[in-house]
Amino acid sequence: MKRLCGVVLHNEGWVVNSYGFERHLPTGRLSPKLDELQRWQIDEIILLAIKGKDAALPALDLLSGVSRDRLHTPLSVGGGIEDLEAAERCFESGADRVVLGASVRRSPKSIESIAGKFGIQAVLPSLPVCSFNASFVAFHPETKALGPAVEELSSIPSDWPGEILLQDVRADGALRAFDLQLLLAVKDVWPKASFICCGGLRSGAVIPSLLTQEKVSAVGLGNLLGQKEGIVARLKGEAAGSVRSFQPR
Amino acid sequence: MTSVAVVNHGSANIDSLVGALKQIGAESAVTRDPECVTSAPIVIIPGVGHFSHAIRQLRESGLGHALKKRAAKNMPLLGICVGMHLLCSSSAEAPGETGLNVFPYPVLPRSNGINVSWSALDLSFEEDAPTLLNEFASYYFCHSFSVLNSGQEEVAATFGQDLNEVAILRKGNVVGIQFHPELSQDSGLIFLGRLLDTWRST
Repeated sequence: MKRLCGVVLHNEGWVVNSYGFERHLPTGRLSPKLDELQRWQIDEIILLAIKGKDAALPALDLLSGVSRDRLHTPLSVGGGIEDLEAAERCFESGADRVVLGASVRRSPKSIESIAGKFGIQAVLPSLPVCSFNASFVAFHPETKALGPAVEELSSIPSDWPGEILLQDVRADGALRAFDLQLLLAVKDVWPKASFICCGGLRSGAVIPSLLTQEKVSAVGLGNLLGQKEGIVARLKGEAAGSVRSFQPR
Repeated sequence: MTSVAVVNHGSANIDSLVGALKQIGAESAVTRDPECVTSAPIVIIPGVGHFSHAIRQLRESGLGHALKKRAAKNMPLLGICVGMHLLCSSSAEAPGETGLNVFPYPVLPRSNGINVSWSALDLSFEEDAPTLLNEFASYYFCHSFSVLNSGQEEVAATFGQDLNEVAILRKGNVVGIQFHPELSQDSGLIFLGRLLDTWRST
């Protein structure tokens, strides 16, 4: 079964909604949101810290607010993880997988060393990109600008056999839907990889349609999760047959 | 309280497993001590990790020898994901390395690559399996390698297309599982609780 993942952005203990990767709106405390997502039977939680580049290791700050005594849902953690040592600290602090973002670009070797210790399946490179004037461009968190995706394309090995978090920057928090052209572009760059697509995913036909794509292993829900109780059950109903069904208690 | 020793092979998601054990009322201690692994009532080898790194850690620390001794005595032992792979003879993830060979089967690359998914299990292989697992539930898998089902007598449950991948290997009180019960929400906690109860009662 494919997965509905909750992509939770976080800053200093607060969950935030994201708009175009630039503006962030706090919506509530982190810990109750994680409890809520588990109760809603989300298939995986992807926690991303949004602190700036000067923060030592925001992912660890984030984990300090997470109790694995209560959270028995797969937890991927990202934000400021630049090397093997940082990844080790995340696993020791409660992560089940690590998300590598800008750090992959700064130190492409880190992806190999982390996968070499924890396994390929425990590493999730993220790729914040969009299409612009028929070109494939990437979002650079440091400058908060879009630019050529050359570094992104080379930082993840072309034979990467794991998952990649494919984030549509232009659809993030916007009314537009996830751009299927992105998937068509990247699936040839990393032919062995499978993709978790996020950005611009709301209800309707978008999610079930994406889940029918062979290379899509999961979709990531972000701002949508701020909605009322029952949203995950409804989405699982709409994607019935593709994802694990919601089991009423 | 049941006392469980959680083997620290240096790359696992120990916090998740310890949290799950706490949730079901089991007392646990994380250990690198071979003596503890030999004598604890129940031992769990957690998942997450590369076979090569984990098996070297077990070998160099003496934990591997202790685990083999424990398995030979049929003392309760659970291996989760790579923990199960370590109990096998070898893994294609680390060519040239040998496993603990409790289950004399090689771990092979999955034909269709990485599997990160929730899957139901086929429990028709062993009488006890339905008492431990819910046939209507799904369990969380995250792996690139697996043991193939070729009718081995230790196969207790399978999953995947054509049910050709092993979900559970069981030889007496030694159990290997490909899925992660500590990450499988209520279904996983129920499995862990029932397995520990079974061992407690025997």
